[in-house]
Amino acid sequence: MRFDVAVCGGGLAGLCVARQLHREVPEAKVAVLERSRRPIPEACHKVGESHVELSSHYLGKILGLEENLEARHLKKNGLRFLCGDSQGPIAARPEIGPAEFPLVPSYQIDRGRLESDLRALCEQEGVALLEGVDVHDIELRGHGDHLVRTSEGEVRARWVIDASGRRRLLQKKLGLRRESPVAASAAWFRVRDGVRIGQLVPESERQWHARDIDDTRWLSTVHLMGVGYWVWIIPLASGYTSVGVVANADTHAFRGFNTPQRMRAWLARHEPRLAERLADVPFEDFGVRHDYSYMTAQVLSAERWACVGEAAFFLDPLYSLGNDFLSMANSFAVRCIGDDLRGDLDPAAAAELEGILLLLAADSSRTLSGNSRIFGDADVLGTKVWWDFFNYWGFSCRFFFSELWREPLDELRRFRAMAQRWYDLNTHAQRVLEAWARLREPGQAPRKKFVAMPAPRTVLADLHGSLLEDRDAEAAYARMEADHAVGVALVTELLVQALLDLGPTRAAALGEAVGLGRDWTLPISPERLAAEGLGRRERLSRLPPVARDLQRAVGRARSDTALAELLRLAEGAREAAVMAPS
Amino acid sequence: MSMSRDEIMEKVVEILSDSFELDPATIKPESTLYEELDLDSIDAVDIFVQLRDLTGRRPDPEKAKQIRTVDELVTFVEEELAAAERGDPEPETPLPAT
Repeated sequence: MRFDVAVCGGGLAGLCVARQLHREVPEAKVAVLERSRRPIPEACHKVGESHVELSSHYLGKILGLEENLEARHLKKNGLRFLCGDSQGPIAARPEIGPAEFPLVPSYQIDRGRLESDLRALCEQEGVALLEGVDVHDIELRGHGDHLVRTSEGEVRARWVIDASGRRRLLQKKLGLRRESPVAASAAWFRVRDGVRIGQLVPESERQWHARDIDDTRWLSTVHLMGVGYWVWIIPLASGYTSVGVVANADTHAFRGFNTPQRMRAWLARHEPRLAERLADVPFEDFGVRHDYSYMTAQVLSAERWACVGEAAFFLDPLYSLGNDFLSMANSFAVRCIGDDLRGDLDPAAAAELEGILLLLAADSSRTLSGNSRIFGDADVLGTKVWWDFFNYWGFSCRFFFSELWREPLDELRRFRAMAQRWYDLNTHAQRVLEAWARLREPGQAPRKKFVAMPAPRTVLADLHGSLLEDRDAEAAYARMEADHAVGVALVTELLVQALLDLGPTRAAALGEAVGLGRDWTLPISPERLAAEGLGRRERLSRLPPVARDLQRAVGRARSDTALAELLRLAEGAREAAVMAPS
Repeated sequence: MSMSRDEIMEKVVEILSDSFELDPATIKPESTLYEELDLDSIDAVDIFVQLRDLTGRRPDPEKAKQIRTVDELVTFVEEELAAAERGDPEPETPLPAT
């Protein structure tokens, strides 16, 4: 058998790439080689149910599945974090999440249901969906068709897409695995009935329930946060609820929660309110992944192959970015396949797309690692989520929503350089956040009971809403440029807040940790220094709007020591460190 | 749920002092929000988002705009609570989410 494209693996990544090929490169003759046969179970199939803006845009708009998503899955009320003391009542825990249902759509996907529907759609559209076919080996050839050896014989194809999930056929064969900075494990299960966070809070907590004005809190991906861990609660359209524990190796041993029985004990200890709710509820489809995170050296090649979904790399489930990377890898690969079949694939364009994808992966690996202390600190977490969403909407989502991967080579080069600038900025931000949480006195009373994310009428809410506006490459670039400047002001404000909060005794340690004066290039202006001494309204009016909005949303730190003095102490650390050896 | 006027006042003072760096002692019923307490229009959005925790309903932005003093804010909450009790429909155009 001979095809233009052989997709090895018919899970979400493989089925999506086949559908995208059908829509965007209709002349391509495509086969999907999938080991399992239908029917596949609803709900108890695979994890990765929470989709955020980018992958929701991919499924809804790029793959044209909007009606299916609306009818067969749940529209999501964003990401919601409950922080603070897990031993006390849920209602007392600081809450970070949407105050109103987000305008930019995202979904909770029932994976079994979606993959069943996608299989049927692919078949209807003329994709050769070959079920019961186990791929044994992929032999890449420099010239002519690649060779895929399967349980049912050989398949030849001009392009091979490895969508084999964690089997990672090509990555293993080519030795492309790289270590990830994330060191964590996960375990999960489904329960048949709807476990809603509101059920964990007594009716008498009127204010907590009243905040949920439309009774839609349960449609969020709820994260119960604690030092070194978080627990997800995700509702599914089939009525099931997905629950999972993600815990970092530096704080929680995997064997503490890697069986159903141990999981119950772990929950009873760390999240007792949830454990009580689940006391008599059977865990179905219990699954685990030890040390789940891995990176890669390459995912896309002009030599006519690509790795997509978990066959490429997997970082971390926080913020549900796995499906975003699936969406990007698929879209980048399909663009290259289209170019190639029309006879004009430029290897340099493939290299740029590959570069952008790996840069975004590296960016996310910064965002998603070193967070153990932050998970247990509501104030720093609120600040982090503010920045992380800004970074995510400002570059990744803008790039994807504007479909910039379709641009010609010189434009791709420009956007890769822009991605690098956002990456550099995020590196600063994550260093500040990590050091801040590490140096902070633990057990401080949280500043806010509820942090609206994004808060209404703020720079962040405006950025989020702007994703719904159409933008061509030029306008998208201009907006990224402008937002990057806002991001500089925001990251500078993160540093200011960390300095004020840590005060004179820890300013030097913060300065050292973030490389202040060494590789920190963001200026704290004299105006910003002077603003700190003013009354509230006067101060707010002089701050950059993004700093003002951050303070309004997550609160502000105060110090008896002047900001200028704290900055001097923080910068002095470098000189002291340099002089110490002599 | 019924709350006495004093209880509402207590809650309003808590919201204002927690959110806007105000000394609770300076917040009097006759205090004007925008002059004496030095709040601005974005602060007002924040107040009304937080008041929903008390009333469980979205405020009417037209009514909200009329409010000038702490006392008027307390009266507003009282009326919203009564409206919630009666099951009055919420306003057609709520305060903007974004």
